[in-house]
Amino acid sequence: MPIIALIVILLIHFRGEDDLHKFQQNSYRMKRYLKWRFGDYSRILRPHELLFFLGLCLASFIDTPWLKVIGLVMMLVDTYFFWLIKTAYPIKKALVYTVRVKRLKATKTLLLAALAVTCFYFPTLLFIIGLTYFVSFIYTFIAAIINKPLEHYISERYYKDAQNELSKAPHLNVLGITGSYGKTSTKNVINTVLSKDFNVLMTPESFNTKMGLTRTLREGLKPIHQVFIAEMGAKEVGDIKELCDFVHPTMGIITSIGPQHLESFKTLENVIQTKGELFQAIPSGGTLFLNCDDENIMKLPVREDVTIYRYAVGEKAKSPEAHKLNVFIKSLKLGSRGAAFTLCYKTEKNGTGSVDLTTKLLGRHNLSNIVAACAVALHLGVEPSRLPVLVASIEPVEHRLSHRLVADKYTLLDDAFNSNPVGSKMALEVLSHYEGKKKIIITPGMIELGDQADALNHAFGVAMAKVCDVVILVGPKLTLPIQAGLKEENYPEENCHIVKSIHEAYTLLNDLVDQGDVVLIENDLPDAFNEALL
Amino acid sequence: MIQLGIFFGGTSVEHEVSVITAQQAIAQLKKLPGYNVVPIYISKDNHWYTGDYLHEVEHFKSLPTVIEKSQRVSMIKTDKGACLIKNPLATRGQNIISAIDMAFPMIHGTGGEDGNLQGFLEHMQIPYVGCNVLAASMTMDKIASKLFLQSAGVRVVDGDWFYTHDWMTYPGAILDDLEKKLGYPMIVKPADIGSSVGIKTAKNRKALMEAIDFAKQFTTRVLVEKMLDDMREINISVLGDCEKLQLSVCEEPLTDSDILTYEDKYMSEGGSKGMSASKRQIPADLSEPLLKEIREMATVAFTALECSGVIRIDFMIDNYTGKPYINEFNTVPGSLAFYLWEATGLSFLDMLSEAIEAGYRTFRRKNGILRSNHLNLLSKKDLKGLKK
Repeated sequence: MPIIALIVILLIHFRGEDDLHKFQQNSYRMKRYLKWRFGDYSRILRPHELLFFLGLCLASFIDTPWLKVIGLVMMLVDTYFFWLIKTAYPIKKALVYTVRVKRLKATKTLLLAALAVTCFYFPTLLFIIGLTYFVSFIYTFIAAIINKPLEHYISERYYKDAQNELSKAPHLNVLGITGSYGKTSTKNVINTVLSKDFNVLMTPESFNTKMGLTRTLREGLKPIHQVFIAEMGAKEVGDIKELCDFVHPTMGIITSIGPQHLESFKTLENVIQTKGELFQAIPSGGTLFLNCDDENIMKLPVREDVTIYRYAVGEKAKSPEAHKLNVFIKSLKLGSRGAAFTLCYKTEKNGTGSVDLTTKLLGRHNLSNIVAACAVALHLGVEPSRLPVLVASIEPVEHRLSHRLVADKYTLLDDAFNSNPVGSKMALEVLSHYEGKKKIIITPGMIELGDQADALNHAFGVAMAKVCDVVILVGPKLTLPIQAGLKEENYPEENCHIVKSIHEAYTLLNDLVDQGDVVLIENDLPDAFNEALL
Repeated sequence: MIQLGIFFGGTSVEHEVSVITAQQAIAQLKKLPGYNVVPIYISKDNHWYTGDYLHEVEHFKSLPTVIEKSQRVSMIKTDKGACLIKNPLATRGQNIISAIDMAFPMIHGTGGEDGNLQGFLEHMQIPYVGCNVLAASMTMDKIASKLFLQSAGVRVVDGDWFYTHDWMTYPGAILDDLEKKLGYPMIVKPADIGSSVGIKTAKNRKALMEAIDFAKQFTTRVLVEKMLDDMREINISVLGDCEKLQLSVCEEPLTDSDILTYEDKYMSEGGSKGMSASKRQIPADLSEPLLKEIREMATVAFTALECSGVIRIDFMIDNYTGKPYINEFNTVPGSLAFYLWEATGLSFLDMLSEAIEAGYRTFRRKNGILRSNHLNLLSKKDLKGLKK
């Protein structure tokens, strides 16, 4: 019966909404999306969907009308279950109906409509079409393929617009920032430090792709801008070069090179080479800012034809002469409310000198960001005596080791945005500085570390055991390496709790937390990784 | 290229002065790299015009021709700033004449120096050179600025003020009051008009009455001040903003009559050369302590009012006591006081550059603070968890 076919197609359409959502969360990359889908069998088929299958068989093969109706009802009930499960867990980030999503949806609807028409003429196809319910993501996939040329045309147009905006700003200095981690926090700090004395535009949030840069330039760049801070992200070799050819940075800074995004890069050598693309792209007479604390950065070939600023805050800062440092620190005091230190500089532009600075930011890695920002400021002509006021105005970015008091009860250390091995180490160091009550950590561990994931998460578990009084791990499967690390340190099992989702974690926290405790939220993953949601 | 809109002309009595100021400045700004000058002429009947015809000062000998040969425009707000569109809109073809990324008002007097234009530019959300709405409107009004400066601890002469409608009802009472409070000689000024228009001195009651009657043509509020009958005029210019400022050398305008009149300022042989042509002594001959005091007073007044750009402060030195008093603030000084800066060692172009930088700083400071609330007080969702 055609009405059954129509309803089945409507059910497919309904299930497809979820597919669009997951496609968006996988950055519209088809290979990535497919990999994610097949990463866990539960993302394709669930036990309760047997009901749908049975209903489909009934509706397709049995000719008795009332049995057909029962089959239809079974399918409807099963879809209802699907919807129930999905909405039982609050979604962290819902599907955003961008114009691109609307285009995809339109194509998909047309596809399904064509399918409905086909079903009308060839009712025997009902079973086969019903089977595609289980792989409804293929419709999203096909729609994506169909839309690809149009999307390409649109992004080329936007790209040309962005280049046009670049040409309209006569005094623009472009600073490219890349690094395995610390890009966004360094960028934010540099932006704050420069914004008082220059007209600065920076790529917002974590917009570090070609599309992100395009959008920032189109929507934000004005002719009066004097500095453009372009965060450059990379997942594959050649990504950074592409971005440099786009915005032509004259200044470059690499914050760190480490094992990040190893799934797409495969080897650390590739990571080093890609980040190095920024160094190659700076023209003669340009400027490079080198983080000398990072071993891998020191491996990059040094260029003679650019101005180099070497900065460091770690061990190397103790012997500045030996490492030819231009900007480094002395007399550091780290606390639970921030830090105070002396910034020393030795540059052609400013000579030799020092200035005392204080900051509200927590964590040793933030020191590196601040020193980098000061180096950039000094290079652009800011007087050293102005740095204290600029640095004091830096506010912690939400979810990047920011802190606040919750309900007058406990201190929350919010490091929810993207964790990496160094970042999590720093966060634990900050946590260890808090005196008093219980130290609680909530984390799902770190992702996108390729084949080093287990080792690094294990080490994280070991470090956690030494600092935290209570550990809440999110995702029983995902956090196995951490659990192993904790076990190695003989961490008391009653202090370690394992939950399925972040919401469960918060509920548990409310029961456990007392007045004066400190809670560290380390990394928070998007819905696509939520083990409770499938 | 940064499109820099230069506003000049205006509806005040200093319309022609503004044309000259602007032409002098535009000639310099054309040399500034990265900027494209867009002249915006405001006619006496308050319409805006732009076009290439505005680039020659000679063309302004006939104002109707200027209007005829220029394009009438309006300014609208765009995503990234502002732009000029044709007024009235054309039914065919391009309506956008030019983007305006930054504005530089050079209008003297009411309509341009009093905050009206500045308020408009604030709405356009583009950076502009010069004082903001508060400083501009406050300094335009002689009564408000006197009261403000007194509170800020800056020395100004004693004065009193009244409405013209009260004058017309109780002239006798007002005269008695003034004689008791201030004593002759006095000087009568309309509260809110520039360039010495409507100002008269009075050495006796009859002269005072005449002076007030004369002044009331130009205003609804009249200010009467104690006149320093033996005094020197000293002017100084301040450049920058409340974070970073510089002071120029002082000048002493030389004149035959007791005060510089409109005629003195603009209709002497210098003709169309504006303020730079009248006779003056630069740098003024002042003792060290007096110079220091003048500079301090100028800085305090400038920062108290949160001024920006290039302004000129006019002082009066009482020859009996040797004390300096602030007489007047000019937030858009004639010829932008370039002659004072040249005498200080800063070229006209560099001075304009500094004024533009000050404009950016003001804009950045304003954008760096939280002014609006993301919460929608009418939305239940936004308020969840905040209200009990």
